[in-house]
Amino acid sequence: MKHRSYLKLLLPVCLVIWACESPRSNQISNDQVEAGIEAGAEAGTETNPEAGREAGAEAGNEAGTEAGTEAGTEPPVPIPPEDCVSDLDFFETKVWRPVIKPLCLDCHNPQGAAQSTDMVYVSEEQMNALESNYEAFADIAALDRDGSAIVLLKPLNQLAHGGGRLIDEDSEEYEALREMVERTRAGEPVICDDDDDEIDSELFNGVRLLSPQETARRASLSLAGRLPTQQEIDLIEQHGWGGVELTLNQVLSSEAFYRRLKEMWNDILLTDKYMGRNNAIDLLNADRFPNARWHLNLEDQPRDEDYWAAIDYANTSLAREALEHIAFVVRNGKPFHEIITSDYMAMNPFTARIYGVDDIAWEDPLDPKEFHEGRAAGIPHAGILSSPMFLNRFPTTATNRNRHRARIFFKLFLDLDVFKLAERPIDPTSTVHNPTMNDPQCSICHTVIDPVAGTFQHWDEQGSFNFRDTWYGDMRAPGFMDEELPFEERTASLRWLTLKVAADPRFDRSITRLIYQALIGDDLMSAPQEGDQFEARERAFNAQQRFVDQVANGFRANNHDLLWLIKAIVRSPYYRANGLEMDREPMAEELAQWSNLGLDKPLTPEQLNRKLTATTGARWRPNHYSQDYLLDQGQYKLLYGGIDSDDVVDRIRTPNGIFSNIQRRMANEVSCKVSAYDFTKTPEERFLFPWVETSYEPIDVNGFAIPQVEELIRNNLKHLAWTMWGERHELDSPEVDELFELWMDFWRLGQEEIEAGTVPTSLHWSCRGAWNLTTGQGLPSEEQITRDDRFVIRAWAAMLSVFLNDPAFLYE
Amino acid sequence: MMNRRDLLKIAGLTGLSFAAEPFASSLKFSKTAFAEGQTPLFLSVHAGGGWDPTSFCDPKGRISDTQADPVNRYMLDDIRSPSASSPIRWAPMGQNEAFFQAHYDKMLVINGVDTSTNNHSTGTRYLNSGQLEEGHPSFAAMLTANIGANLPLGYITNGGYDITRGVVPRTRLGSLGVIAKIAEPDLDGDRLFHAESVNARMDEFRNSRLERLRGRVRLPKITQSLDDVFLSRSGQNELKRLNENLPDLDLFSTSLGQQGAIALAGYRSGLTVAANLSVGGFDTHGNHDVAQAAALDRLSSGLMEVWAEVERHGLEDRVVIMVNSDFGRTPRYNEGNGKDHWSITSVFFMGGGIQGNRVIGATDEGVNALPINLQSLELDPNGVKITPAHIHASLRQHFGIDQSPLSAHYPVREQALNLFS
Repeated sequence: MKHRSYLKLLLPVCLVIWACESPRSNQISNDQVEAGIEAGAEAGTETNPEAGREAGAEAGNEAGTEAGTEAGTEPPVPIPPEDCVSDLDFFETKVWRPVIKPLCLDCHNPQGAAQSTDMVYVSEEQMNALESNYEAFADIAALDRDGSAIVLLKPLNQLAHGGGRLIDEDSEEYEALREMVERTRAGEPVICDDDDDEIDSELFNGVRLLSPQETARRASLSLAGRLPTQQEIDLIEQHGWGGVELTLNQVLSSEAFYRRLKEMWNDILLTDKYMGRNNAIDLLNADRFPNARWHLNLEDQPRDEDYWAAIDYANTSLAREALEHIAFVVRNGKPFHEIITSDYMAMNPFTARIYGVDDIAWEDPLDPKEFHEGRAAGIPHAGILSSPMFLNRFPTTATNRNRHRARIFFKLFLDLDVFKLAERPIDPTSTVHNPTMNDPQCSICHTVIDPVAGTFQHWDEQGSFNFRDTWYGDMRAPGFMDEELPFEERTASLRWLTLKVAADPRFDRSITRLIYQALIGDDLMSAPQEGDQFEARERAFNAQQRFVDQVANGFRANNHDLLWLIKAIVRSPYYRANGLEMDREPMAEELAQWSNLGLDKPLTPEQLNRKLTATTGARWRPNHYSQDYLLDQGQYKLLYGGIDSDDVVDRIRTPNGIFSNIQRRMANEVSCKVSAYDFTKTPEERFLFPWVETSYEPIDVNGFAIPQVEELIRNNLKHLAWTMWGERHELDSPEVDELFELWMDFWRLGQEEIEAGTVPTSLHWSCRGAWNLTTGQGLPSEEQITRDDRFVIRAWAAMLSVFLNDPAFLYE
Repeated sequence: MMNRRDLLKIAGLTGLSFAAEPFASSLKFSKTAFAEGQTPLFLSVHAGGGWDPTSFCDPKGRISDTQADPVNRYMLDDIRSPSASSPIRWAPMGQNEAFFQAHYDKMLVINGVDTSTNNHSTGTRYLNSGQLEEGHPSFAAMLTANIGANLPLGYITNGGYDITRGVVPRTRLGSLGVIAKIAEPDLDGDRLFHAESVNARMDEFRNSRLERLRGRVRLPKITQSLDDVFLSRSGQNELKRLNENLPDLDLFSTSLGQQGAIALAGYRSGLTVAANLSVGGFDTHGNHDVAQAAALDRLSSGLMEVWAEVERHGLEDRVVIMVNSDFGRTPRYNEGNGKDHWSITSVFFMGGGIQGNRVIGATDEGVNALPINLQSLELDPNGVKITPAHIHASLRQHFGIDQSPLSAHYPVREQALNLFS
């Protein structure tokens, strides 16, 4: 069994398969193609191994030096894996799980009865808990009383022990403790020469991973709401993963990706709550920001379109300033930590005016999409943290003293849910004076969050900067971890904090985890508890943890390049696992070790809406002037599991009956609206039916098959299976056979209904190809399609309905 | 982690079929009983943000105008009660008078509930699942899983603690102007989008493809998601029934009233076992008296609309309502005239099977929970404090799911009390 290595000794190798460099060019040049091919060839499948090795070596050297220095010796030489059980493995399997956790932890924890002893273990929920607890054990194991290890005497009660006698001298538990003590005293830690990467790679044997083309398709749709172009498909066909790299670069440089990026971050920051009317502007203190309402004071301005546009731009720009700042940092290739460390805010002409910033030279002073670095007078910026939108969305009060903001800060940027530190009952009748400082049941969290809360001290309830000369004396001093905020940094205290955090490995892991969640739709697997297939689930957990650690290290090695991080996750087996490829039934153990693989959530309403447009070329909405059904809160957005960023802030990602009905209605309505319309275009322009025409019937009036038409229909079904479902099938495959048979059934059944008079030969008005669905304009009468005498169009519409209402379309 | 299929097996439910379940006999309510309309509808109403019971059902007035650091600013003498013999009392704030006068006779108030936390999410979780730590589904989800796991709208949620742990799907039905349209997904006005025979063939293909996909992918997560699709599709036609039973939602003046009306329509349609209703605005760290009274007014006027709808349906004996919050609020005002978080709170119940006009538990003048005797439920210095775990053990017993395998899988740590009869 393999386990997580010591993090201190973990070489943060930038995995070759998750390449380490991040080419940013938007254009696909021959040079890049060549570079991609070369790199792909060298790495077997991937790009740019040199960059990976360099970055890995650099990071590895640092880690190695640090570990070596702390131990005071040369790093230990790993021994071969045969019969090797590392100290950490031994501690976890023989000591922690069977002995300490069940027998000691209840008292020997930061809140327990033995909290003031030298042996205190932390909750498994905490980052690196196993490593921390191993170190705690090793420290106590070094202590002797009368020649015997104290840690062995206590549980036997041979040395006074508050918990009494817990084990016997001839028990397995005692023997495990004894061997662990021996190991920790041996001087040289046992590190096994096991290759975790190889083991993790073996973990995926039997799992079907998306091919390069399929991966590019999934990522393009998910990140930019579009299908790969034919040029990109060809590129991938020729160059494999090198082509994928270049396609992803295109995807990640598109405006659509930045919309998706802002959507991802709004799920976290929820600042879209302030969209609409003057909701954002009303949050600003009029005394501090006298220009905030400039657009509302234009008394001479007629209430025309420009006036209302200005109002809308002003409020929207302000409401989304934190999201736009994030997009600005990424778009301009800046290290991602600048979302919280920057001494500026990304401003457009509207927010700059609101904040009274007048030193920016605008190319177009009315373009809300033009962003520059802006610095408001008297505000010590710290990226999004100093945005009034962030500060209002995560508010404080006179008694809360910024602790709420500090908790959110830990959760988003330090991968720490402070609440989980203290999921133990409290006693409200405790009479300890100043409990957040002195009562252990309170201080366990407050020791962590209060110093950080203090760094928010100048940001008041309204989110305005109000310098305070002093902070509360009955609270821990502002700072971060054990370091107090230096006096000279107290004005820009938030920025001081964020620069510390940007250097903390937990920041890397936190952002990695957030992006993993956004792309895969699930959080990381929780540490498994004892039970069925425990070891297999533990393997899955450990491999995933190693993956996240490695990607987080790569993220740092690449100067916090978010695009690199996204690509690393996209190319990973966690994003690409799509099924099993084995002839036999999988064993229970195998299923357990794959329990965290696969994307299993239906697309969000926003994603589904984009996919509909990308694949059908039309938007699903009541009419040309309306908002799309899936984006409208009054229509299906919330019913389909979406959020309003205000009251409804968590997405429903398990389908229910409402989902199912919306999916069915969507499939019916869209297939009705777009099928005839698609046929009004030239084949080259069509999204859906480029291979067929409305006159193409596979059987002639005399009942003879027309093989050429059948082949064209099969080609079109193959096209739809790829664009709608991401499935590649040959023309004579069983899958296309089945789809063709289905098409034939629709066609025959429809003709029978026409003959029976139960359906008309003309198309219902709502299904006619009579309007341009993009512009809403009527088509010239000679281009219109209003009849379907032979039920060909409706057979295709039924096929489209089937494609749209299928898990392969709805889930991706 | 156990998947839903496994959990359904544990629960004795077969997940996707209506075969008889081995554990049904040990349950008070079964799917059969549900189908026959014999089970109750459980409504869990959450006052989001942490209400102040001393402004509502556990009043603490001050003795004089000069009393320092009072729990509340209203006077002790102004505390109201329906009669000298009734244990029910309420604070003289907002619309409390109208609400309590109308409903005290059906209310069971539990005061002095110790949540052991002043953390919003932890308190909400504890009060709605019976467990302080993460890991348990809400009681509403547990109940639904036991008697209506295969209902696509079995558990409707409008917020609050609605974690299901995968034992049932949850459905958000808060805004429902469009239900009629999606209730009839095959209709374009008064005609079918696709010819009837074509529709039938489409459904046949969809079902067979789902089976093929299931056989092909076999990864546990994806397999479960396909099961979810199957389950959700099974309820497509049943939305029509919901639509037929929906009242005109514009007739309701409160969000809570609308939420309750939808849940009741779901129940009348044979689709819904439980629902979370929610109303916010209780986190009154500033300007407490005004803001808390306004929030309580939204709660009480909403509850009155919900109960009027219960009566309109004639379901007074079938609907059980639980009202709770995140925790309570401090027995003093802070510098901003607000009140901060306090771990002692109240919970109240009303509806079918609940003996009303009763109060169990109490707090002292400092709003500290007083212990009770677990047998007699009377105050007892040698007793124990009531916790959400006691309430949930009792709820499970009251609803007859305490012996179910699912309850064993998600145990609560305290014993059941004889709270409800």
